Amino acid sequence: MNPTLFSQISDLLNQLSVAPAFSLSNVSDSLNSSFSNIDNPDIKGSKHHPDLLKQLVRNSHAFTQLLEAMDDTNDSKERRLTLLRDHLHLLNIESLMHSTQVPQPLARLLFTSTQPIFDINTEYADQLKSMRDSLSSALYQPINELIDAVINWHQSGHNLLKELDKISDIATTQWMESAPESEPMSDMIQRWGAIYDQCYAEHFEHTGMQLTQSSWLNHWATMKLAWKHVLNEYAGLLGMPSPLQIETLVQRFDEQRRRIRSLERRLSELES
Amino acid sequence: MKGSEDDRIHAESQFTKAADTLSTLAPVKAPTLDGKPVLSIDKMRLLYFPANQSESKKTPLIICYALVNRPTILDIEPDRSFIKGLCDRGYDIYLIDWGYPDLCDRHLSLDDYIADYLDCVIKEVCKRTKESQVNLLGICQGGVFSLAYASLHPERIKRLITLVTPVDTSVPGFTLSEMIRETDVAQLVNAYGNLPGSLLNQIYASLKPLQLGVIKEFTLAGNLLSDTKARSYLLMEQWINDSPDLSGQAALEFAELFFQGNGLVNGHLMIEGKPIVLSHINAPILNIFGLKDHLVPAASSKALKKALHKKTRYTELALDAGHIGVFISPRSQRKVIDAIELHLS
Repeated sequence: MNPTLFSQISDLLNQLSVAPAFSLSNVSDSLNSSFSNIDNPDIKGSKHHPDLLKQLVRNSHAFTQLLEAMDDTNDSKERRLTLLRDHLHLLNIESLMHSTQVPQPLARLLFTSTQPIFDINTEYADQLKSMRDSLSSALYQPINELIDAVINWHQSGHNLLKELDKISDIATTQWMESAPESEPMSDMIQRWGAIYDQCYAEHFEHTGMQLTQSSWLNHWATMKLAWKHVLNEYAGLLGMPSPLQIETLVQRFDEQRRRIRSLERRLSELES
Repeated sequence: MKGSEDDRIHAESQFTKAADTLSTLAPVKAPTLDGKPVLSIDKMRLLYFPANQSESKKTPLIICYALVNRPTILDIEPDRSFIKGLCDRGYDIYLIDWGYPDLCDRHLSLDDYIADYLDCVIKEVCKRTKESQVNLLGICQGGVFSLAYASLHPERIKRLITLVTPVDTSVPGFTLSEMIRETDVAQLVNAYGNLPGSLLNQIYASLKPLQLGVIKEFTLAGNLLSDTKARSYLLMEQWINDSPDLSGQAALEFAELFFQGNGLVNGHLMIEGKPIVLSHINAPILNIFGLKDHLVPAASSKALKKALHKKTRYTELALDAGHIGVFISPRSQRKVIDAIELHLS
């Protein structure tokens, strides 16, 4: 079974917390030296674009790993597709590990999920529920609302994954039917991307997909609001301005701005 | 597997070339707008780009870009600058730069953008040029604003051009509209205040999640094979990531009235309490769209014809290009500018 969204998040955060070094191992001999040379002072680095160079190395590395894997197998088309999807998913995870914007971009992982997922991670949900039940005092109500919001977002993410599994199944069938006996890898990758994206767009014609995707986004917003509520409740205790106080200030500022704009427009009319 | 070996040799060669390019490539500055500011209200600026001919065309052309993304795409590089292309044909161009909304702009509404800022821009240009009318070119969401304005003030618009503009949000294949259909945008706005540009970028990328995501990463080396290619790629990436936040109130109104209510078709879009009725427009319209546009499908733009009054002169130009390619790719851009010149003559 593929890990659920939340275990993926946990895994990623764990990996990020130990700040993994950029690894160039397990790459084919020919390219391994090229990649290693990036860290060699005798080889040209990139004075102005070091991050892009790292990204290029990472991606090219992933690509050749995929080619290696393909070379090692004379398996069926289905097996080749599975390999391709596994490697796309790995590259996706690697990219996210180098991204500082966590967790919102984790949504990208949903699109390269490689195997059908049928079970919710009940252990994680149970842990959250038991945490919520232990905070029974009214003082903890905002925190309990936040926990509920996290559980609901988790569930909606799981529902979305199920919809995306359906898309993957349809795309796989189409890909298999259209795959030639022999095909360059680059064409194979492009074809998988185009077929998947087309199936995905077509699936959005159905209300079920629209509702599921929106539910995920809506629960994300609810979770952020619940977090804001927590800040509103406890910011005062810490002597900090609450989001609500800031919003009231912004509203007053906007009212002032409107009064000034209205006067400016009136003056402009009088001038002309 | 011979195919894989060939692919590997090819990948190795591309990687080496791309790494070489990056080793010598000079810094690539983020695109900017060099027009002369002639009006400024709050964060909105009106920029003037004079015609590159001694005798400019009489009626000025105002470009109204979308609130999402930056209009820097219109002048991204000298040899594919849409603005330069128009100036070279003798047009004085006025470009609206909406700026970057911040926390204080959370309550800016469509009324503010259309009935205040756009209205002031049009009056200012009329005053500067001593003309009673202007030509108006709206791009994407800016096209919706332009249609709304032209329906409220038909007397001020001489000629109207809509470029990759959504009109009917109920057409099949309009994935962005389908994504928004069941989304509680009010809740999102409550949570965020202004909708962050980074969130909007993720939504756009998720319209083609593999091709604009992980597969784009795989093919990165192919975009860095020469200085010219790498520079263009980096400029484009900088532009893509330079997405302003969207004012909360305007985002909410646009999502609910325009997208969910199919506002231009059903008359649900209101500005200062007045419904936008497209049949009120009487300026001749040129409607340009891309047949490969994944953001605004051609069918949505084409629906404009049906919504106009039968007597309104309507011309359309369908191009074999995507949303941005319509006015950035050299082949399409030339056709677009030719068509605009013909329309305004």
